[in-house]
Amino acid sequence: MLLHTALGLVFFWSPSLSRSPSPLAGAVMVELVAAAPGSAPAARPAPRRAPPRKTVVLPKEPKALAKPKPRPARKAKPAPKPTQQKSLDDVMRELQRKAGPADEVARPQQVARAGAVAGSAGSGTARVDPATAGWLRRARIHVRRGWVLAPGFRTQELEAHVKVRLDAQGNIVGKPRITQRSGNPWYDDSVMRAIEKASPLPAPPEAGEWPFIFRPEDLL
Amino acid sequence: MMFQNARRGPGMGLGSGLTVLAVLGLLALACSSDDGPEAAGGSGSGGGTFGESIVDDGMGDSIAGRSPEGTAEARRLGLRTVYFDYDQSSLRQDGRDTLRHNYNVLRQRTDVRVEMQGNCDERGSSEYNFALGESRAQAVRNYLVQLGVPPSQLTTVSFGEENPSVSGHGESAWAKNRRVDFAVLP
Amino acid sequence: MRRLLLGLLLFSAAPAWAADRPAVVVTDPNARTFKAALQRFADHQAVPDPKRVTALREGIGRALVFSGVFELIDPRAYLGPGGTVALDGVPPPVCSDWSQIGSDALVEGMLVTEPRGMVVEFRIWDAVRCKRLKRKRYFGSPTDVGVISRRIADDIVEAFTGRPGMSSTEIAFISDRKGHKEVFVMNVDGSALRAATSNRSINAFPAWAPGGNEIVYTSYRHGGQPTLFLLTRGRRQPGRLLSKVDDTAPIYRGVFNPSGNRLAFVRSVNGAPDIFTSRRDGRSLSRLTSHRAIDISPAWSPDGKRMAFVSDRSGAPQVYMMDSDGENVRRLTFNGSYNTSPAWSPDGAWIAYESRVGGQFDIWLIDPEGRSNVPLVTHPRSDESPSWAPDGRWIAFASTRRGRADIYTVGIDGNNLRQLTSGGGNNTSPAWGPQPGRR
Repeated sequence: MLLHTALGLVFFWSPSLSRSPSPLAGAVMVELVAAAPGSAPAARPAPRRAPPRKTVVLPKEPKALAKPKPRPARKAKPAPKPTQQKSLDDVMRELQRKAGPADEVARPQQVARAGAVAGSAGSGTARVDPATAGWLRRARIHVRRGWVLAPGFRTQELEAHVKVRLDAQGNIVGKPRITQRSGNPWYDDSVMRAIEKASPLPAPPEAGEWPFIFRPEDLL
Repeated sequence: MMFQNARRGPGMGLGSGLTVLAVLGLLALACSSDDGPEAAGGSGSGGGTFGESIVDDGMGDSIAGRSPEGTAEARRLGLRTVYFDYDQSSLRQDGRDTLRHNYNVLRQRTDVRVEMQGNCDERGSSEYNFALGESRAQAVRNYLVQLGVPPSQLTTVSFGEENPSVSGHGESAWAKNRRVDFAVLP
Repeated sequence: MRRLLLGLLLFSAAPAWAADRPAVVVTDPNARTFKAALQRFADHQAVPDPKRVTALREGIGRALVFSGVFELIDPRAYLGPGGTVALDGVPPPVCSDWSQIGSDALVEGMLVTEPRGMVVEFRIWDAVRCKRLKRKRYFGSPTDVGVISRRIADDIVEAFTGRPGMSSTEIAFISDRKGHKEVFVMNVDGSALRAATSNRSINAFPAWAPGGNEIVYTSYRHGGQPTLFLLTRGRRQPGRLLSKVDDTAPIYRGVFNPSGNRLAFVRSVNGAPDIFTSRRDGRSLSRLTSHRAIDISPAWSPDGKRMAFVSDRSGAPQVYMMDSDGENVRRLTFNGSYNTSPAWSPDGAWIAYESRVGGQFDIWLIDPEGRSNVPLVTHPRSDESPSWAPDGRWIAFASTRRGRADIYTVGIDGNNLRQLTSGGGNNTSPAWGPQPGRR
């Protein structure tokens, strides 16, 4: 794709490109029904990877695992009558407005997460003093806040390592440097953005360069 | 580039394209052609619609290119439909009884060739149902051959789940759709 | 001298120190959607047209949100200018204006009139790292604003994820809304639905060729046995495929390999469907399976080296894997007694398939090694025939959850279920088309 783009795109737009909306076009959101949980057999995701050599077991906050929120059954809107010509924009707007979480859809990443959490237990070895452990936890929560990972990335095993120089107040000094790339530059970008957004971090136990590892555990 | 292929025109030469500045990120420039955009419905790839001319070959409401005559003729001869259990292509006892009846019909009429049309209910993969419909038609054919019908008198086809005899989504409809119909070939 | 020594010591000690520090391990991204700020594009057209500029901005915004990858920042929250002044000869944007309001992306652009028509030029910025990611121009007529805005949105998604968004893609499917099972094509939001065949026989299993200008499908249009035909954009008559293959045996389904020069297809010789491959005209025919059982539903891996397929050789239909020469056959699915319709994700990491659990059909995902197997879509009614979007973030499927079969899409994280068809007969066998203009 890169090569393709870099070669210089020659795009021609002909009017035939615009697909005229058809009066047949209809798009309505499905009715939201109360979830029928329990029908999905439990998944058995394999352990994602060998435990890294130098990680610290941090107290994990309890995670809300796949617990479908019961939702009052809502009456579906009747399908729009195909009498009026609907513009694509209307259709998109409608789709967007109505596209909410649908309870009858299973959430595989949540199923997977249960396995991942269990799998990572007991992976760490190093011991750290409580103050540092507390900072590691706060730093993790702080940095993850700015981390955006679009769906579809986690189908690959992705791990990036970044060294970040922090002053005593937690400000990032200079440019963070990536010490291990994931193999997917867009993933690495997402990691670097998360770090950039995080400055200032909670004040570290000591100023200096701190390693960060970004490793999504969800499957999807 | 498909857009390139789609167009013929004096401006289409490579030289007319502005090329790339690659220093700062990816810079892709579109070039334009002299003939510019054309009227809608042109053969511009990536945009032209798919379509085929309306085929009016007098088939009317035919089944998969078959004249409804063949089915009617089979019925007139007394050839009966064979029914199956869900997801099964083995003959039931009632199916074997029906086929012995059909064998007696065919024994009288060695001049007709019949097509056995395998069908399924709507459940499951439609591609698997094509295969299942074929297995059902084959099961019927093999049984008739066993009884003594010359193989040359028999052909098979599968319509999968695409040609239900009864519409509907319940077992009563499904049971009627898991079947092998007979049609007399012209 | 002592100072130099000390300096050296510190210098060498520092990295060792850092390496000894425990790492902050981040495993759970906070969000799945980026935030975008879209400036109002500068209007440098010969005849300014504010409505067109508005339509373009709204179109890009809607398509971005539709892609499932972005949300928009309300322009009222902008600290920076709400509109682009020019793309050249002006200072670059002040990134902090945009990152401060939580924006990941900033899009600037302008419309100009060139002798041959309208040109839309735009730039995509990573506002956080203050990097320009892409600059591009689209050329078209003023009526192309909708198409251009979707293409721009797909470009923005690509700049941030490496894979273009899907807002300008199409889905082919089968519908009996006019009485017969015909091939139809619609935009990915369900709009612009139109018939692609009208032969009034039975048509089934549309599948796209790479490039998006051809659709192979199965048809009984010639009477006799079903066989494969090819629809080409802009052509009124479908073409024949496999003309060198004996056509007295039924051919139930064909799918192009990722390079588009070979077909895998299901052909039934002596009543037992098997999987074959050949060139488009049927030359260099190769038989991949020759089992007395039913072997159907070939699905190429994205690299074209492997194939998933369905066989009932174990007594019930299950998904199997093999190399694309038919070697190394192994069974992939073991749960339940009915697993069909495999579809390989564009990145090769997953195979979506249809599984019967109890009496209902659901869509599941399994990885090609069979280690992880998770449900994606479950419902008491039937969900069938999964097809991946080219971006790998969405799956289309057919479902009878509201009575008649209709086409739905869902994000692979299980979110954003959308119904695309309604009120028109039964709609089945969705085939999600590739990104236009890319291979």
